[in-house]
Amino acid sequence: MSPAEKTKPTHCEPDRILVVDDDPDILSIARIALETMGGHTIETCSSGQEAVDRVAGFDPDIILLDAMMPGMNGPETFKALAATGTHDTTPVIFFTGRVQSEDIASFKKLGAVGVVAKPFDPMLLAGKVREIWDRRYA
Amino acid sequence: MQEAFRALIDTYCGTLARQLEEIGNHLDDACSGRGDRTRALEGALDLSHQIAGLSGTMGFSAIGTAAARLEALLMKANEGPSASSPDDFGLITDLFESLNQTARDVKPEQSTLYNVDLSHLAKGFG
Repeated sequence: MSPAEKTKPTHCEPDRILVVDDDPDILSIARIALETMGGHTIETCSSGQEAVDRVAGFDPDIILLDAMMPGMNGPETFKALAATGTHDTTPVIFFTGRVQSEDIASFKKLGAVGVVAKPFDPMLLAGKVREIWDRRYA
Repeated sequence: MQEAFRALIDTYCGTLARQLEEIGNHLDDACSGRGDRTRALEGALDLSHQIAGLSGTMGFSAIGTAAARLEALLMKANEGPSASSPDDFGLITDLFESLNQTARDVKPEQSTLYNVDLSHLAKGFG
């Protein structure tokens, strides 16, 4: 079991969400959806390396991480975030177009708390994040 | 919030038109033998992946579905020796034509997000 799975957050719902995706349109629409519909505080990063560099400064409660990015991909970013030592227990949800059962299983095995399929419905995104959070921690 | 969604959708329609043109150029290059065929197909694959990942989110699910079909075939073609097969290439161009017909001249107001009523959310989180 990964550190992210083992550790229960100290508060009952996520406030600060870090969204990592190389597509600027995805970042924009996710920000609008999560801020407005979920009332969350959002920070965005356009690469895995940027996420690793900025995670400590933002201190997210949960991370939405694109699985397929140029350079450092989602799983590599996940491992790099875990290696920071400061955010190795921050729960991670993968954004991905790969939603075959074996793909989802591989993300879960890595330690992800959930998967959001791409394309996603922005109207439902905040609810989906909350559902994954509640399923894991409520 | 609705204005923000609409602005994104407006911009995206322009992006989509450019991406379709670029895919067409890549496929023309691959078909004509100009330059590196593998690189041309990879370029088309990257763009079809982007369209497949974003169109549905932007409220254009039919475009996303058509792009996902093209992406799947391009991925398969790029993985094996059949990338140069005339039969496979015919199928790729057919799927691109299907995507092009679905997406060509798409208007922002055709997005399912364009006219969704979000006023209750604005009050809730205002």
